[in-house]
Amino acid sequence: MKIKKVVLRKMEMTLKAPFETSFGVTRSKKFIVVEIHGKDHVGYGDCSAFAAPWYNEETTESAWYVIQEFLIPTLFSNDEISTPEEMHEQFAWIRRNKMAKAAIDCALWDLYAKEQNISLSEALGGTRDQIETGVSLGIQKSPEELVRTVEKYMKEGYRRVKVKIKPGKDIDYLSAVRKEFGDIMLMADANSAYTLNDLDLFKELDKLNLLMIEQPLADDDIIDHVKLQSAMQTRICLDESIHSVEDARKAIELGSMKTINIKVARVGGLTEARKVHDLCQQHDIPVWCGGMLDTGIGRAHNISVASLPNYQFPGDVPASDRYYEHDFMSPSVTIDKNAMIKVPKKPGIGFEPVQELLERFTYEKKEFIR
Amino acid sequence: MKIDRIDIIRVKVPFAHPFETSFTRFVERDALLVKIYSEGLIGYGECKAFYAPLYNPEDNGTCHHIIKDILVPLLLHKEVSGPAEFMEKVSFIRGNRLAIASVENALWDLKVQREGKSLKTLLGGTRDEVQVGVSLGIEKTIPELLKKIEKYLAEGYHRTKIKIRPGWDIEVIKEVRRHYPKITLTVDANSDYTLADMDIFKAMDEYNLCYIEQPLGENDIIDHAVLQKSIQTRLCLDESIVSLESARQAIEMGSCKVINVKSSRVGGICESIKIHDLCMKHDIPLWVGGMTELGIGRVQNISLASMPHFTLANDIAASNRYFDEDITIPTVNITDRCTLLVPDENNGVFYTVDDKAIDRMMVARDVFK
Repeated sequence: MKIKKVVLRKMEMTLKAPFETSFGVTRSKKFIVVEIHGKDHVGYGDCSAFAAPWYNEETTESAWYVIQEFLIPTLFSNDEISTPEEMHEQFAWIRRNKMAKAAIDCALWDLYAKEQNISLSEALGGTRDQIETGVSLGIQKSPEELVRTVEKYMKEGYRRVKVKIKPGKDIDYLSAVRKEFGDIMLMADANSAYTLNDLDLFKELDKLNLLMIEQPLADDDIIDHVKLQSAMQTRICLDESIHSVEDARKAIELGSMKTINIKVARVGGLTEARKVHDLCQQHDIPVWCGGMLDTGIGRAHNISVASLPNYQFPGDVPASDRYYEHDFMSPSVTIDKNAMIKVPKKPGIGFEPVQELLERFTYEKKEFIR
Repeated sequence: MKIDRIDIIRVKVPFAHPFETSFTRFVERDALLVKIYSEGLIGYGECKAFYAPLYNPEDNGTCHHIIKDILVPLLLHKEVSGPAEFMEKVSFIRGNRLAIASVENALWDLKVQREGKSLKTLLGGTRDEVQVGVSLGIEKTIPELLKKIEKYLAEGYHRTKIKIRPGWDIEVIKEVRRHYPKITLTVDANSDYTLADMDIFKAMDEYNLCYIEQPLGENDIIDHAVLQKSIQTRLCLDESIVSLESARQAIEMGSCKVINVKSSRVGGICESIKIHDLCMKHDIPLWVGGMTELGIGRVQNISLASMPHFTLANDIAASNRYFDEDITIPTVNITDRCTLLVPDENNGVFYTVDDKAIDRMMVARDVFK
């Protein structure tokens, strides 16, 4: 790959409905889109960091800064790049800032696959033609309202339901769904809202036969989760705690979890996501693909990476119209009546931006010519 | 107290002697200062981030953004009782501890002035003076390193720390020990090694090192526990300890026997006090680490090191060790015992911020009022 220029865009899209987690309410998504222009093709990546540092330490602004100051100059110091993995190595001197790195890494993978004239799924070693998606629900006002919301999505064909929980809005909510819908794939996402002092609550949750409980304890913890996992049958899934294949290795060695939600952005891109996938596969730890209220580009990368063989649980890969009125990537991603999404066969990510929409949602743009 | 105005000032201060770590060569200290105006008083805090994310995920650019866009709006024109309440307000923020600490430190400075007590008194400090160690970068040759060690030993430094990296480790330690069998010697690896290097660390056991600092991954607590169990020499964690919680986990896992407390790394003085108290309970000795800070951070570090469980020599240098010009009046000078006097109400040691020096070194300023 010979890089000619990089275009950075700050974009904003309003959510159809505000999304509530244990941190607060999100109404619109600000994000960064990276275009890496090679000789004949353009690779697309996006940066999932939120406006404020409540998910991890990064924000839209911090990533915007790190991409310009450190990543693009490192990228431009190469006359030619043979694989995205090569840049991943060159970025290693920069500590963390994974979401910023992921934006570049994902764009390079798209460009790489396009230059090879193969789909991104094929470039990554994907084996599935379609992937299953689940629905992820923010914290609702009451157990009754949650049951009504779940019912709506069950009718649309979703088979896996993920419910965000926080102290006071947990056991009653999950029990109500379990009672109403019987043996569905039901799971909880705690976004680190609990501590080991809540062990009794988790023992109660253990009776609900949940598919998994995601990230119950502290956001960077691997150690306390060992105690919780050994005290319950239900799978613990780590999200925020796993930033790298090294973290995954330690969590596997210690027995901190039985599954990992791999968010491409959180681990620094597709290169590292695939390493985490491969390591987990070797250890019989199934993984699945998480989301960050993704827009079209992040979604496209997720669909391709989720076609890898060890992505065994339905992912948080929503249809284009789940969170936003209009997405800017074409064609739209739709979900069939079995909650399945087709993995694109076209070269690269398999989706192209609709230029008019891309410009409409862009509020700042910068070009860097090599 | 009501917060009336906050300034973020970026300064560039040339190092008297540019130096090298395993990351890069440093020629100037590029730093952010936070100045908080409240009811006629001004509190200063120094952000310890570097120009690039070399030490932890933060750098001056990301810190500037976090202070300006996230922290200033939480305080400006608002009532805040002090640093502890500020820390509650920012508990929703993940990471970004260097940015948080710069504001927290400024609030401590205001608290000191409002209460008319020294920081030492507020922290329950018990030392009148704190011991200083010297930290030496990677040199071109072993003889050059030995020459430097000789010089600093002659000046009376209480501990000699040498930076190591693969290829500049066991041979260097061996030679230093051969020349100086008795000195308090430590090494700092800045996360340049992995568990695959176990043999190197086992070999270090022979040289009676006071401790080995941060040999493995920069956020690791788990592999360090494996290493600590395999060697005699104490491990000291630096980058891995970012909070009271990570200190608790490191103690539980047996990951280290010493901790280097940098108040900036853990989000400020409030968290440092908690770590101090926990480590005292578990008999994990502490020392105060350095970030090549300017005078504002340096003076706060001296007071922190006066707390009872900071029992090992600290990386708090005299101003002229790093800079020809610093930003306090007076600049920080070392005693002939290689100690630093801790300011308190009675001993006449008192520092003020040199605003004129700051103006000379300023490259940018944001004012929020």
